Amino acid sequence: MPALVQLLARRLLGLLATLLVASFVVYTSIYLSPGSPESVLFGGRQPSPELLAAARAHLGLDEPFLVRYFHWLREVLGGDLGTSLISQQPVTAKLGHPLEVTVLLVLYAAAIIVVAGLGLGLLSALNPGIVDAGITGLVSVATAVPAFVASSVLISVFAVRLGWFPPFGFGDSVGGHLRALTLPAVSLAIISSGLVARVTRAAALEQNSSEHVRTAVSRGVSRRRIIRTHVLRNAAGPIATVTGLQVAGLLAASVVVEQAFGLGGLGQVLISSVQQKDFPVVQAICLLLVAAFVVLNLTADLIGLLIDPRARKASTA
Amino acid sequence: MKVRTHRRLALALLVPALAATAACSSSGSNAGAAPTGGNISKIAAGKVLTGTAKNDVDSVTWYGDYRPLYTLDPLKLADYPEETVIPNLCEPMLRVAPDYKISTGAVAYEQPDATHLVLTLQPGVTFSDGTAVTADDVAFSIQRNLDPKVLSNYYPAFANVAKVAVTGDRTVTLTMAKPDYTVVSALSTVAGAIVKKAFVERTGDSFGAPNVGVMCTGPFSFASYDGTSKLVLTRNEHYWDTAHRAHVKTFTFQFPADPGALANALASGEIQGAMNVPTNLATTLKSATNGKMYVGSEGSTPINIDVLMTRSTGTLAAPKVRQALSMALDRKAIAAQIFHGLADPLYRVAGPGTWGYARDTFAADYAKLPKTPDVTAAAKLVDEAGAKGASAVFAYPSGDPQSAQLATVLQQTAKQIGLNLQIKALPLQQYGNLFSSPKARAAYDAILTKNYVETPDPLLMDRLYGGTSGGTNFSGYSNADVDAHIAEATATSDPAARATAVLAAEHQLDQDLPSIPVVGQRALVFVSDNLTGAPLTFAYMSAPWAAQIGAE
Repeated sequence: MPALVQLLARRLLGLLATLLVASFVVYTSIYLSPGSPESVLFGGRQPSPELLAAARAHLGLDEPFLVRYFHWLREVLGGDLGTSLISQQPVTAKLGHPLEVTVLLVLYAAAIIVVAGLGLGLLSALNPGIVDAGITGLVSVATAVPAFVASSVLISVFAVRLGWFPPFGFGDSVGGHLRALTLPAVSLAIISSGLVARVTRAAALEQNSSEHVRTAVSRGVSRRRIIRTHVLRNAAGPIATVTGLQVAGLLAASVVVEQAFGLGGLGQVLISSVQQKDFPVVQAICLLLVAAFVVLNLTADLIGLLIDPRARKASTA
Repeated sequence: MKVRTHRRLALALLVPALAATAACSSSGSNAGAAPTGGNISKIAAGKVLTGTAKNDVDSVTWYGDYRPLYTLDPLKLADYPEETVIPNLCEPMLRVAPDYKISTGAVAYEQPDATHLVLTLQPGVTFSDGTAVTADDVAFSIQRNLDPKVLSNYYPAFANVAKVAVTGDRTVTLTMAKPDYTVVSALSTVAGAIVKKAFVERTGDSFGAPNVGVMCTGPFSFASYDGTSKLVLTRNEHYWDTAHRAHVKTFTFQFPADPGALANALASGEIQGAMNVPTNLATTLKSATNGKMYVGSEGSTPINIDVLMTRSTGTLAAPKVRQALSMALDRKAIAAQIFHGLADPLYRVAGPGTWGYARDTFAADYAKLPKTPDVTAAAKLVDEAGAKGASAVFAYPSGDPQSAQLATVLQQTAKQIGLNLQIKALPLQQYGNLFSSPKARAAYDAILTKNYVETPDPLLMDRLYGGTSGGTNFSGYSNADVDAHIAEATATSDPAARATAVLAAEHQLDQDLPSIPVVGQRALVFVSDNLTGAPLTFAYMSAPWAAQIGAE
């Protein structure tokens, strides 16, 4: 186990380094992209040069490139993510609601991916013939439906025509949130569910035809037990890795779905903040996304390690 | 299906505006020159509201326009979302009726001469926390427009104001450096909202930020705003003007960025009403079963879409070339094909939507303008100017299909008359920069703009793009006659006399075309069947309109 702790420590250190590099890269690219926050503040009006200078000084935009970056870094290390240049709202307050939306959406979609992906994959691997063919067909279609197409279709069928789910917004109560997020989560999960189902099917088939499973069958071990301890457990490694990657990818993909359903999540705030060059907000969101991506991957790896002692030995050796 | 947001951020140019009717009166009586309101919905001519609400409603959700508000401070940003929501919290100190008539609100006004404006605070006016408004608050609120540190978007409208002084227990006097009858109109926009001085001083830079809110005198008070998706107002139970008390207890604004999402939200009733509906949603919403779409007639908004010149040199700097481009443009086809009939051909930048007074005079003059495109004569003009085969660059905002189509039509028209117009789509932020940075504009000969004035007066539009120091005069256009006529109109209170001066300036601008008019937009409003009282005119941009929404 100390080896596992060491591994964790190493990965966390890697996370910090990644965050630092990412923050600098993002900062530089915002700095170099055209546009400026003060032009947002002036709307369609041409300010006098003095007024423009006053606004820039007020927003701290008159400082040199690196000074501004280190200034920001010092504040973040002190636990302060800063204030939005455009709305003068603390960044943490500004990101509260969007974060809630995106996290719930991604969790919901992840649950669908795990249940549908694993379920369909296993069902298909264990029932060769018509079930397998049917599911394989379905999965092939699913992996070809991008989220923006899925959301359009789902909105028009289940929200507009049938009226089962709201086509727009986040709802008010917890139940309302779940109802409102159902269509977005399904739209988001379709492709990934298909991919996970494919990987699950392949891994399960491979295990199914392996020697230890055949031995177990010949020894008369129950089918249920074979699936649980011999097939699933051995197939778990690749499935966990792919699922982890897919779920981490949802963070970035959710923006399309958020836009279509008017959810006001992190992705939408990121886009508008990039357009406004609202540097502290963009930085905070990017850091959140990078951190979430790394942590999700780490979680997937850890799950794989916990399930499979061989991998544990290999990675900690 | 996903059409990117029809963005208007940088397009919206504001001129705190005036109805001349108000300027000419001494105590707010506006007889004689009331705008006849070109805001006729298809439902009934001359209608300015969808109906009259008589009953209260617990909660309503409305469209707050194309993006969340950046700030609740009434002065910080003059754009659709801010001017849609803020007047309900921070009403202008003068009352603007749905037909644009200006009358006594929290203050009464009197303009004894062209350089003085006296405001008298009405008894019983309170902030939404129940405390009384003082003359000091009124003066402070106006003064904020003049303070460079506040960065008021409305600053130019107060350019002639030299002094704001408390001159009595209930009176505030404005002294102008130059004769100016247009300040009254600026006070009838959110620039004239009364904010509580103590609250502003206490909150400092964060005044108006989503987590802080505002303290004003409107029929609603600030409840909560997450800064990104949901802004909640509650009825101001201390509202001083009991005759205009709000019918709705909780008024929520949402800001779907995607037009498709807005259409779905309206059609399903998640959002119950919207003004300024993107024109490309008209076909979808026509078939909605839970509400009605109201379409204004020609001139139902003062929004005009133009080709604005941005360079003092180059191909388009020659007036003849501009005349040729304008002459060849098939505006009727553009209005019908690109805007689906929800816009009208516009032959003068200050078109029908801006005629708030002397309407007949303006209309008669407008009728004389040539309206049939003449490509042959235009090509000849280009030849005469020696510009055959010359190039120019035109920039437009990417993201909405109509701007792109319009740019393509312009390019084709230019080609027909022997000009090589290169068109360039700019991402919104880069496009927005064109308005604040001469350096950003340097690469382009002309850009697409969408202008509006809050209250209809052609003078304000003309001053903006045709005056030497106009806010969007980016091509360095300067004509002494035009400037003189504009100054004369600004200093004239009589509507007929002002119209004469305005027309004199416009006849010159028609020839010189520092901005080429293309189309004027019609009002497009959607309201759920269970609600009524929605405004059908552009006056909502400067009035607490949400107070009128309720059940029949």
